[in-house]
Amino acid sequence: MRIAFTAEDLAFRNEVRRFFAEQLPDDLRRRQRQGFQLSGDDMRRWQRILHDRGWAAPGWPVEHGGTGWTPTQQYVFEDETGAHHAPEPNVVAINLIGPVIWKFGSDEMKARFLPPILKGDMLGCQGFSEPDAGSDLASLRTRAVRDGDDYVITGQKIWTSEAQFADQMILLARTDPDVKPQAGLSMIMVPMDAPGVTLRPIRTINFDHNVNEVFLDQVRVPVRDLIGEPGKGWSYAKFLLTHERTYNAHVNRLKRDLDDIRALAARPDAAGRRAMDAESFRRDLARLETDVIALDWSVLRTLHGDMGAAGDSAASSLKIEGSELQIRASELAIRALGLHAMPRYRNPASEPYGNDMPADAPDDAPGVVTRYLYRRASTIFGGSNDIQRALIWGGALATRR
Amino acid sequence: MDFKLSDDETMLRDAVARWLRDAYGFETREAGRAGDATAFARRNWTAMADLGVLAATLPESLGGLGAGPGAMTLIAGLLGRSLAIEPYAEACVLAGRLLEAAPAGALREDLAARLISGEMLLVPALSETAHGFAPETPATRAHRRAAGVSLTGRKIAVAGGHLGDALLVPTDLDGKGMAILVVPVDAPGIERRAYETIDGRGAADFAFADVELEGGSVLIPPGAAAPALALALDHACVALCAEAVGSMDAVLEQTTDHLRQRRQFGRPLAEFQVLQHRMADMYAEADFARSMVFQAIAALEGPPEARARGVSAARVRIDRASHKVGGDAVHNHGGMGMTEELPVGHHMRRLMTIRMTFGDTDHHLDRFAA
Repeated sequence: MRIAFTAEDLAFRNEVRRFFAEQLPDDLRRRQRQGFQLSGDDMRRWQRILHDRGWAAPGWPVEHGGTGWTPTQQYVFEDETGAHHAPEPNVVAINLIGPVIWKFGSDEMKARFLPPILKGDMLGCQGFSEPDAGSDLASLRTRAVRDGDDYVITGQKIWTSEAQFADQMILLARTDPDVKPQAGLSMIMVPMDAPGVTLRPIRTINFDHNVNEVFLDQVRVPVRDLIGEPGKGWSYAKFLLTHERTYNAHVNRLKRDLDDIRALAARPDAAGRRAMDAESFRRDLARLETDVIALDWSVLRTLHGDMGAAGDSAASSLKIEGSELQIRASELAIRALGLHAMPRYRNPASEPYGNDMPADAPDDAPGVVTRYLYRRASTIFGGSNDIQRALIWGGALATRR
Repeated sequence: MDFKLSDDETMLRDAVARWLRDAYGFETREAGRAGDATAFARRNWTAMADLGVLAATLPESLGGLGAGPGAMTLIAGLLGRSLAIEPYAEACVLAGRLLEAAPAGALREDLAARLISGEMLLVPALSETAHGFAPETPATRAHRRAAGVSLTGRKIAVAGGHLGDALLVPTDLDGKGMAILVVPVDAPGIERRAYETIDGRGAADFAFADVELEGGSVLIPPGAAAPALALALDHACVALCAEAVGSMDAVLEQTTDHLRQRRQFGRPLAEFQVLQHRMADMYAEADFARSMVFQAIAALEGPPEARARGVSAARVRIDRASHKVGGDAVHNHGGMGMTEELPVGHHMRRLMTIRMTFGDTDHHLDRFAA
């Protein structure tokens, strides 16, 4: 047992810090702080900066253009991404499409998809959920029917994040209706500009445009855009879950939140009063911080293979706790804002605000409010917390003797 | 003790419920907000006046119907259930109670008549800063001059301030203590910044720079103003409590319906025990909240200290209930709960702003424990 970061880890952290301090553009940082959905241009721009430094894909092997970092180095990088208010990567491209393709895709596919993803020239979205297949993903109905050298795809996807500027969708579709539900699913790449693909934005309670409905009407894609083998979609999706066990804990966001809350709570209002002056606030913040520390160490254990009794279910407990802490953090941030949490702030990228907003609200106020509202979804998406609890029971406890 | 409604209360409840059913469905509300939201709210305010909603709790001596806090909670509960965006607690309950406490005179009679007719929206402007709620000790200053009164200061997050015709402003008067002034929103020297709020309502910040008012603008002078404001705020807080309970009732019904209709894994969500248990907890929370409304109605009739304790206890307990019910209702709706298309997310946001209005939970916890 040696429970400490090595000298190399600490040197690496300094290197990453220096990079963020020097390379993260101020305007990007500000928009990230303001909490609204970043534009596709912003995401492409930041990915290019990372690519130029050779840090385009922290979790990928070197042979595919990744960094080959150790789990600790990846953790440090994510930590600093949060701490510096840097944009997070286009998650679907970097954490989902890339890994499935370098693990299961053909060489031709690797050559066609991986370089543009690394460079920020290809953003992705995830076509998994459907109106009648949310928690029960295996019941999805979108069909991909083989027609010569093409698949013809018809169906509807929902809650598709960032589809409004994605270039490619990684689609989970039914290619075989005659086998048991999980066995008939395949993963196919679909260009978002293909004829028959239409989008409808979903208006969500956080006053932003994050998610969409995607309609697929007789969309034709070549069979070569099938990833791996037909009928393996479900097992590829499970591979992704084990590949990114700790991602959904979002512990880096939580640590950034703690910093942000402290800064907001220390900011005096027009009468010199601060949220931090209230003992109840200080105690609730301290309580949140102790919970974040526990989550942080659970992430570190999981990254180093110490997964405890839960085994593969570790991802589930990290997701449950991470999502609940994210809601609590966002609530404390709201309390730190006081009455400045009342306005419906607008996304400065799409609806300039200024004249009609409170004169003395902090620059971060829009982000605090929209983030609070959006995070209500964190117990729902990525497998609802109810589903995750069932997975822990099924994976770790039900079989215990 | 009798929790049953009187005939008058039943009639009032039925009339308001009928109006809301006919004129305030969720689609109507959303269309109204998307269009000219100010005109929509003013139209509804006039309809509320015509129904007698605005007159209900004003004393008969001022042209009102003299109904008690019980009737007020029936009205507020129904408005909460329908997600009404009109500032009932502020511009009817709070404003009405301040008028009732004001010294007799032409100003008071005139304002009461115009409040009851719906012609004038009289909005209390209480908060000056983002933190701490202490409207009884304002930094805003007024001074009597030869010709009138001069006002300097600021008020922020004035709910309904985007619609209001005149403000009720707590201010120090000549260094003699807090008075309540009537301030027309368009008086020279007033800067208004109006904005939409996350609950689909609106608010405004006001800056007063040497605003010259008529001599007769002092509604309640120092001395009488502080107890009048405390009483009016307690009534308005109970209206908010009742609104929250109405909102929770709606959310429980909508979430139950959703779980019965939505199928996953080959059966209705309602058959999943974890969801049943969560619903049971939400139901119990909403019902404890309802008990606190009745408790607060009783407390409003008591002496000031007991009244403050009872009302703040209600706010603390109802805030906790509304936090759980609003959040869990969105969760139990799944992704649909995150959309603007369903009322549940709107209820969640309104419950959130109720918890921030007239003092947050910490404020009321301190007030209860004091």
